[in-house]
Amino acid sequence: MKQYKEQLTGTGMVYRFTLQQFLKNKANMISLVIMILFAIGSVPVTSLINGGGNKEGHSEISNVYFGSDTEPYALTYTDLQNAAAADAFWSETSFHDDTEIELTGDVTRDVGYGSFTAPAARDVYAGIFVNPQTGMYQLSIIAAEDTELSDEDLAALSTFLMEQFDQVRYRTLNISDEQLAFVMSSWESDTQSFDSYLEDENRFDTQYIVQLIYSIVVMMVSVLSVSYIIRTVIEEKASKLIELLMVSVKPLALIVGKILAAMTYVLMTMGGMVLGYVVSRAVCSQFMAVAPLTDMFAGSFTFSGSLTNMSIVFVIAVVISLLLAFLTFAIIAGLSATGCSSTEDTESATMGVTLLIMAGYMISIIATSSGSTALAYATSIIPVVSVFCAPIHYMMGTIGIGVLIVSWVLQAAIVILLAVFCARIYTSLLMHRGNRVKFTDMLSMAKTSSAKGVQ
Amino acid sequence: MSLVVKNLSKKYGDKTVLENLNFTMEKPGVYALLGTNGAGKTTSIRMMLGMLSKNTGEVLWNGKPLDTATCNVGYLAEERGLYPKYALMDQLIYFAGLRGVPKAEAKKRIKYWAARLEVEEYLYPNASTDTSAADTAQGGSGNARKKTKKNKPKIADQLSKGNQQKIQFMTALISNPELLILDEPLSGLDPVNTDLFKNIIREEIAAGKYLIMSSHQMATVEEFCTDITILDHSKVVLQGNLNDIKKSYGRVNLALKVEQDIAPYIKRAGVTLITEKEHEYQLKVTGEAQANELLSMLIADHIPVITFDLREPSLHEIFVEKVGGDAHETV
Repeated sequence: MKQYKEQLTGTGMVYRFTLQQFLKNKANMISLVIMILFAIGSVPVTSLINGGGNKEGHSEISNVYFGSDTEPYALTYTDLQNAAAADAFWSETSFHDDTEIELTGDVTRDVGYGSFTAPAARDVYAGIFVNPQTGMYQLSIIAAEDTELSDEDLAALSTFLMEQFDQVRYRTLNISDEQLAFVMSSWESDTQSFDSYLEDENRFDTQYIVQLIYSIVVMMVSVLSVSYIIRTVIEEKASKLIELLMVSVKPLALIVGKILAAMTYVLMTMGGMVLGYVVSRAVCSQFMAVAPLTDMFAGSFTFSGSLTNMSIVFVIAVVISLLLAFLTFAIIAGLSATGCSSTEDTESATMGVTLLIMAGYMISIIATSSGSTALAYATSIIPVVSVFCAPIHYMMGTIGIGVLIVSWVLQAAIVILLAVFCARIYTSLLMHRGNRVKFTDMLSMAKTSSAKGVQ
Repeated sequence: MSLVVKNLSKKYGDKTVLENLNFTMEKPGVYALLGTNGAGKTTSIRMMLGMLSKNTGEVLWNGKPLDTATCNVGYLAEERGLYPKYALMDQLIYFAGLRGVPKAEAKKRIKYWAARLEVEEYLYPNASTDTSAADTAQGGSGNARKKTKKNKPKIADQLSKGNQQKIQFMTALISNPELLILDEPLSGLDPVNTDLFKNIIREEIAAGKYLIMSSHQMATVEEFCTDITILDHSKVVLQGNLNDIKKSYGRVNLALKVEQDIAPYIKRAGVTLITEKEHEYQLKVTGEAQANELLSMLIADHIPVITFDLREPSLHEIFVEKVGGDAHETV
């Protein structure tokens, strides 16, 4: 214990200095700002792409000029006004009779039976009539050429008008409100194969989405950390600083300080992104069709109805798995970088570790999409892949807490083995000059070191 | 205090890179590790500092294994390095901190050494700006004050090689070390900066520090060192007190200046001629008797002798003699 304490003397200094330099580095700062801006921008951009630019709760249509030619059943604009008054969604929309359309204004189009003025950018003309050729009812909605209304706005109006017209038709049969509600209740359809039915497709979809999000987070944390660790280690070696540093600090303290600094910096980056997202969501919910964060969480808990073990244990499981993933890839990155002598080797050093992370990511996604329980158990136990899979399989109830703990123990054992391996050869690797040290060379270094028992 | 190096050996596979290095420093002073390139000097230093594993041997400081964590060591490595893109002040405070020097004390020492090594303008780039700003504030206009711009802290990449070497020397000195190891401290320096470094080395010696120096500049080694070890092909070929070594060779170098050609006398006395330039002769004699015999011949024939200087061999000569044709790169 005392020996390890001595080996780690100076870790705090290395940690503070490395973190300070991470924060002072212009490239890092630019990356951090871009990531935070990306997180902030993702909320409004996603909302706009999904057509939800307007604040959820009311239609963006200002005026609807309505007319019908459906005798004996007639839906009037006053019916619409009454129905709209009872629905907050139409609180900002006025319904008018189509006779109010200005016919003496700027004539823009001759439609054969006369000419009329084009609607304003937020207005629409709507009418229901019978198609003489098919005998079917036809709903026609006309918007301006340069309309500011989205397809969703117009689709909502279309649905509203059809529902109201159907109600008028049913009312002519003198049915009660209860009967009306019965005949007007809408449908939800779900078509699936027999196998899918047995596998509970909804639950499967949920697991896939959760697995995808979690794997992306693990991959981001790991790739970012790995790149920072590799860059800082190679920079130090290429600057020929190692001898100067090794007079003052033990190699173990040097690498541990760097790993901790990279972890802190990545957590700060992720924290900044989450904060940016939360603030953006809070601001956007005031102006756009974006649910506030509280509603989103409420939605998540509803959504998690299909998740068996969604609890504080899951949060702990995610934190432990993330930490194990970080340590595993960080130590491998440290070893890979220390085997290099010049900055030209950075790319090749990063490539190997990144491929390992990508392999873990891909296997986790493939294993989840296959839906195989056996594969779920295997990927939850196999080290490296388990950090991507185990917490999600536990949350979905595919594996129990016992398997989860076994996966942690195995992964922790790998981390310890890597740390011991690293401690054994790190000094030799630091002093190495020349071609990049391959993994097989590292193994022989460890054997030699073990045989001598001296560092 | 004492430094003892005992049976230090190192092998890479079948190749021996250092064989049984032994020496002791019982009192403060400078110990020189000399040798051709690849003789094992830097390897010895790295092993002493624990950076390389030893096959055999031990290094004791005050009777205990030398540990850089407990012994205050200053080291100027042969491979000079600084973080190229980080502010110099940050680096110096970091290196001082690693050696256990608190930040406030480190700043004081940095200020002192920056002045001594004449690198203040790089470490305090705003010092002159601050002075001119103060002048402006007293008598200048508001606009002039606004124009005063803070200079960015200097980074290592912006310094010349010599100035980088000064900063590296500062990192070795900043902890006020009791044992100072200098690997080629003067290589690449101009004469002015060489004198600057030499003065500081003299002060460290006067302050009772233990210094180990590795150098190819024999004149410098001769100037500072009391004891030496010469390594050749990983083996110790000569070791001991420099004065004693020189004495053991005897006074065999004769510098003679006369006003006419004395070649016949040199031949008659059996003295070896090394060089001759305008009646200034560098001669090699077998000892004082042979030198005196030559002098007697010149006096007897009334040949005026301007200079007669009989000296021991220089370290350069001893080195060349010991390592033979390998010493191509000595200065």
